[in-house]
Amino acid sequence: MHTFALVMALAIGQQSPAKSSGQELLDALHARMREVKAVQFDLALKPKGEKLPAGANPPSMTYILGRDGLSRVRIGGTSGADRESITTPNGMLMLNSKAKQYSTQKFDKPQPSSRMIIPGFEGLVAGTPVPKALGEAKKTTFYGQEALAVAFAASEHSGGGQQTLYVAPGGTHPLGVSIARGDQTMEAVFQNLKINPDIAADTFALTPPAGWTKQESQSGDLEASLLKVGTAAPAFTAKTATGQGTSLQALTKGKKGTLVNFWFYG
Amino acid sequence: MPHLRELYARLRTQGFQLIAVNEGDPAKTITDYARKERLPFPMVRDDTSGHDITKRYGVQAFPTNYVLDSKGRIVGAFVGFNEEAIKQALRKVGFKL
Repeated sequence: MHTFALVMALAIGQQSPAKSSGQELLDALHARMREVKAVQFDLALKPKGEKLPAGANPPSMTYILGRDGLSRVRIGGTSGADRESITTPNGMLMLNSKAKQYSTQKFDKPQPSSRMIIPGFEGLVAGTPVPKALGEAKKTTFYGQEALAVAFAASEHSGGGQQTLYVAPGGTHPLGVSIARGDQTMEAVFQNLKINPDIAADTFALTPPAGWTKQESQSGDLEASLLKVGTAAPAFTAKTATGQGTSLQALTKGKKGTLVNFWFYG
Repeated sequence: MPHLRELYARLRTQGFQLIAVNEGDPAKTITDYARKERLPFPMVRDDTSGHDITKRYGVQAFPTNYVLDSKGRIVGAFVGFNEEAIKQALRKVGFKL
């Protein structure tokens, strides 16, 4: 297994003493994030208890969060895709760098900046309350990092319910979060976190690169390339996840109808 | 994919097939996920270097869903999991929903 050393750009800044209660820890983290201009990290999302997938480095998503609802998310890594979306309270810009295409969406009215909050980074958005800790912070390790775990009541927009935040000792930065979804717990691991990274001035600009082609709308763009209703679904052969060979024909033989679902875990 | 599991459980006795085509995840990620989520339907990998299946089906975003009839004709194509639209296409094919 890899060791995922967090590359920290916050060597400066004094470590506050270890917090004894969960709420103090969340308070410290919130206060720290209120002073931050932007953060950058790679996010890997996986079922709890599972090792980070080998393809997680480079991970599937890279986040840059600015203050008050500015975000830039790049989806790349193992997906082979190279897409970015830039979100501000006023709109979005989606970039497909492979195809050199973009699409934009302007919000009719400004969207609340709280839409883009990721647990642990609440302090980046002005006016966002400190999450309510549910009990004490517990010493643990999180992907090889010394960590304090604190359960907290999640806000609506991050899924509600009880989540657990893993924070570096002293409350300097979050390491990840675990989120219970039904009977499964997912963990988001923040890797290669940089506080106040060196980012371009136009990182959050909703201006498309010169010379790129505009798509009418994001979903229109994505649906335009789909095969037409009434045409025959192309035959394919493939291997199952356990390695057996199969085909569309073999799988659909004698069936009244079929749903073919394309998915990517990341 | 719990919604797919439910759909499959509900329709399989009516002659329904569900094929989950994965692009780009390691096989272990898929098998672990299928086990954890107790997914009973076939899962195949589009692991050819060119992601041929995904490309041939014009898939640019995940999830994308196609509904096929008994002759393998496309009855519906959807980006995202638009449950109502998918169910409507399945009704067209003859499933009772």
